[in-house]
Amino acid sequence: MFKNKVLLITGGTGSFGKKYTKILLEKFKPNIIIMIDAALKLEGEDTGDVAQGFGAAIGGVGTDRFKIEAIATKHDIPIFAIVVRQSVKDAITLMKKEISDQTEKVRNQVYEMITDNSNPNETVLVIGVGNTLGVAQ
Amino acid sequence: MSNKNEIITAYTLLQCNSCKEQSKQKFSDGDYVFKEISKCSSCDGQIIITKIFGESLTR
Repeated sequence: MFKNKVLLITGGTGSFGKKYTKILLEKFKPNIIIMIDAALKLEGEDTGDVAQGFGAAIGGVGTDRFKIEAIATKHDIPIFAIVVRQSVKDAITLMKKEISDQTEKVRNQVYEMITDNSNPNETVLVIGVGNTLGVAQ
Repeated sequence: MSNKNEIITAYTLLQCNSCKEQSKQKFSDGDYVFKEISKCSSCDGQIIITKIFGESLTR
């Protein structure tokens, strides 16, 4: 059903999202995984700064990150990450314009990651972690 | 450091999916991203909510 498709999961850390993501990873074995999340900004960094990296981008104590990376490593699936910087206050209050304005930039980076790292007819799993895409909880 | 007098107002950004014309209005209850609002007045496209965000005013 999902073979050779780009899948987008919003709320990948919720109770349903976690289980569903695990099933998708094990059953459909995507060729690459792209995770998008918010990340705590450090001193000197601005709210809305966008950064790219490798590995699972997901907050918490590390259990989810470990599990996702363990499954991905087992199946030899590379994980790419995009994070948008924000403060603790930004994370629990209304999304600021500076963060909202990064939507197009992040979307373009996702497209770039997909085209640069996968071939036509391959499956890509795009995971918007938590509230990243502005979907109300 | 956060400013105690900072007031954040919520806004909704509307965009036509055909001509891409944008407009901004104050957020109202029931607004959500991808909500279809109306037909575009300058073309036959559909106007949808594309963003909801807060802008801060400092006194």
